[in-house]
Amino acid sequence: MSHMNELGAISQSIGSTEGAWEGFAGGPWQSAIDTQDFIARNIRPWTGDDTFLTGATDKTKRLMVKVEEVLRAERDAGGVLGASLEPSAILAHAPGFIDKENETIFGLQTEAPLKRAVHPRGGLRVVKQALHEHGLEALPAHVEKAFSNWAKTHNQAVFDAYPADVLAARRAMIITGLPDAYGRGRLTGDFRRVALYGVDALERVKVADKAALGAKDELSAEDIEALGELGEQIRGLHELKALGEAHGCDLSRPATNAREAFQWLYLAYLAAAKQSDGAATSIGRIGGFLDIYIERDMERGLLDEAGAQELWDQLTIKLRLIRFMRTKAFDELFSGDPTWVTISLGGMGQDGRPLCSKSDFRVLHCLSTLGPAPEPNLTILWSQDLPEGFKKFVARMSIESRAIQIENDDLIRPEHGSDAAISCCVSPMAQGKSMQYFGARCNLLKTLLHAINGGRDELSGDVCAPGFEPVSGDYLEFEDVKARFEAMMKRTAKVYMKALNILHQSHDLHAYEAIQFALHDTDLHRTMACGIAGLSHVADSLSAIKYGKVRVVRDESGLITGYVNEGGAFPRYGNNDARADDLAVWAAQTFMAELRKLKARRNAVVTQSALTITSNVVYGQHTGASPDGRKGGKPFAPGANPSNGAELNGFVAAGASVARIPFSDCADGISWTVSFAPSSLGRTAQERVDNLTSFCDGYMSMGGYHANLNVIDRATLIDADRHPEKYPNLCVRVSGYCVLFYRLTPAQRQDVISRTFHER
Amino acid sequence: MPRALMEEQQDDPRGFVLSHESAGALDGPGLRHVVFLSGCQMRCHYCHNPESWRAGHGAWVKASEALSKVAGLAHFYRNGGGLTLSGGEPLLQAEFCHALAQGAKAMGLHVALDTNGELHENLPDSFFDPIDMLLLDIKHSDPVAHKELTGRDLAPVLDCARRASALGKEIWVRHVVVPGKTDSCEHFERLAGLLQAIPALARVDLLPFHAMGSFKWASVGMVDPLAGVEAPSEEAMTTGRAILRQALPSVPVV
Repeated sequence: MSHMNELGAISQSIGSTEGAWEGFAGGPWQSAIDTQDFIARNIRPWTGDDTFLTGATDKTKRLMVKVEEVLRAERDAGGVLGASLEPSAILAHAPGFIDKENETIFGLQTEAPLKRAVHPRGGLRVVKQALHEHGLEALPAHVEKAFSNWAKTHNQAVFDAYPADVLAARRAMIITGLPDAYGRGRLTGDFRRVALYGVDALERVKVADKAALGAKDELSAEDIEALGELGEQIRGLHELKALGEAHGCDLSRPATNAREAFQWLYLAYLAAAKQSDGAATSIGRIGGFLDIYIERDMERGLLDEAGAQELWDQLTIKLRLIRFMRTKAFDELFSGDPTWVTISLGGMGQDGRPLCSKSDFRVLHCLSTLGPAPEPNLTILWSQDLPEGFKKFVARMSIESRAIQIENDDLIRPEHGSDAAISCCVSPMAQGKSMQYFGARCNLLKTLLHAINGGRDELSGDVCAPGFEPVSGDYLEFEDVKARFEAMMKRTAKVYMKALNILHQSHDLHAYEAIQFALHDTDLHRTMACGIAGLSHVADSLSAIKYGKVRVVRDESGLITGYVNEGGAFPRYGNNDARADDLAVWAAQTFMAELRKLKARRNAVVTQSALTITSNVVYGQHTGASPDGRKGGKPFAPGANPSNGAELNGFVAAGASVARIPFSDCADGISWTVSFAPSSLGRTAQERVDNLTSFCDGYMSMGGYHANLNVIDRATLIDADRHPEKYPNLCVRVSGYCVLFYRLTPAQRQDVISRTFHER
Repeated sequence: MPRALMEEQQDDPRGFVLSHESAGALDGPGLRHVVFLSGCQMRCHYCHNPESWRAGHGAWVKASEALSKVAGLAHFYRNGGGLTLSGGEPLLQAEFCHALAQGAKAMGLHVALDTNGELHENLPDSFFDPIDMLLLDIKHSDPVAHKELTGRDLAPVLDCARRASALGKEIWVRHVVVPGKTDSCEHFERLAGLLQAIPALARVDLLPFHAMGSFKWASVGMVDPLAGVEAPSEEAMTTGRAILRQALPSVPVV
């Protein structure tokens, strides 16, 4: 559609902005939806340090007392405080408050804080299961009946369609983590649009888009799908306005001051969190945008620094209270109740100016004013060109809180522009312009094991991929294994893509994120975001076969269930040794090349990530022994991490190895979770900050994409494992998000402790 | 030695490397690549790397090979960091050490030499050309106790400090505080006097002894002479720092 951002429609609304835009530098953003242009023309980059920051206001402190109470109650209740059984929707619940007179920003997911909503539209089974597991009241009979007898859920639709090979791959856990049980969010709305333009202007654009499409002489199946979606989007916008009215806010018009901008943006975000079953519910790159409103209010004498920090503190409190109802099975994969409220900070503009504002500092400062917490998921778009003051502040807060991840803005910007944000953990997206068909991941190590076993699963012995011959000799030969692996990757990629096309067609139809799509351009860039797990073990296994001498061990049925390396030491991925690192690169590139050959629905561009979140533990549990010496059932290294204990030359060499995995073939992100003992970073606090900054600059300049930075002693984690009550607020970063350590499953805690710690 | 090998040796000498640490944050300023060379003539009782004493231990590599491990990572070390040659005692392999320093300079890296200094006497001034700074380990303030603790003399160490100062090299002195050996006020005061006589002194690192190296003594079949000695008290460290700071007001004591 060439008519998106219908100019006349927006212009019409300018007449009714009544001073909302007064004081802003004008430009193309005034005649078409263009948040990036608004920011570029109005942002005030901050190149100083953090000394301007202030503490929390009394109002925030009073609110925090209540928040702590409700968090404690949730902890005491075993993690879930209760559920609201009315199926969630934008208008399903009456407005909820924590302590109304001390709240600057209104709105909760349900009528009470931490009371979780249910989303049976995505899948009835998981809702019932979760309520049962948490010992909560079951769904009312009429709700259950509605979603089993009359309405088709996303989950039902997917399983109605899945063919036999997909089901077999799912059962063998060669493809897993698929969002087919519930209606997961797949995009980050450009919530800023609601504050800048108001809902009425956004609606006019969508109405015009729909009218233009509907006026075609002939409608294809795709056109009809798009028409239906535009209808849903418009309805979503109406509901958003109604949500505003319920909270005393007129969202039909643009925000006129900073407090309104925060409130408008948050209500738009809240509508998304109410409508979708939200992993992930990212909020986008909002620091610089909201800072423009703060700066204008300050100039008008309406706001001081304390007031500005209060707005960020109060928004952060709301974001920390986001919850979803999850099953135990979910918790084993994605442990610790994460919600991925990813907020993107920093980054550079196309014109070479930094886009970090004072508010980017204020967001990080919430870790001090409110204390550390795992959400929102603080994500720095790191560029070597960012001001030193900001980089050093990031490093310091990272060392103090372990709540920060960095992603390479110098890689993201050329691809996605300077208004990109991270969705979920590591996925870069142009805000309001792109969405991601989230595809979980393929177990690449199991693919290798199946290749060696001729398509039989090394644990069950079942034939998962028919038509393949197993290795016949006693010793593995590199070229032979490589050829078999290539063939099995080709086959696995096909099954994987079938599964993704099915489940996302269903998701679009049955769990459509209408309000988030309404806050996007109608013409969207879509990606089909596949993923791989077990990369380090694949690389080390291939290296063992190539540079060592690997003998296979068979059971009585001829199934290869174990491997013995008789050839001595072999190079391992993670030491900046090209012999091993190139094998990791080869595996990632080869699988990506197979995926690229396949057609993804709605012309989505196929991408992949090397990211496991915490599912590396479960993947490992369901994968047999591998030629690299990893024992069956042992966790994989997370994401693109080197295997535990493989790194012999320190974290710089390890980072250089990870940085070799090319972003061009892992365009959905390459995740590295690195743990440093504080003492290994320097003798003084300042040295640690400086060295961590140098390290981040170096890693990024080598092409490293992402790093979770954990500065902590292993001894502290061991103590926290034994005495969780002593560490209720201890955060650690796992692959892609931050979590309270005590909320991890015991197996996940052990995994974090047994990771390579860089210590001296 | 065949002529071809001799020539190769001159251009690209070989040496024994124990290990590489790509992320050294404790051996000189900034983030550094540390190459640990094997062999040491001292026998310090508190050594936490006794496996590094034996000469001819580790990997026998060309300087170019060792440098190739640094080259790909040089980005990391240019922002206030660099390369540190450590050990063991790097001056035992002076030619190799010099080639590594020259190679690192050619990459634009700052070069630090972590040494006990004793063997400087055999080396020409030009040896120090590609070296920017010394991390000089002064083991004891008293000549007799120094000999007892390390098996070697203190005088050449101090001489090295004077010479490096004259050559314009920055010097960071490192000193390990061992309970019962180097933790008395008297000792710290004497040490302060020695340090005042080093013109190029830019920093002092007072390092608490730790017993973490103890298992290594057993692993190389030796008896840990400080077995059972604990880390110094925080009080002893504070006292030491205070005495040094008072004597050296313009030098950071960490």
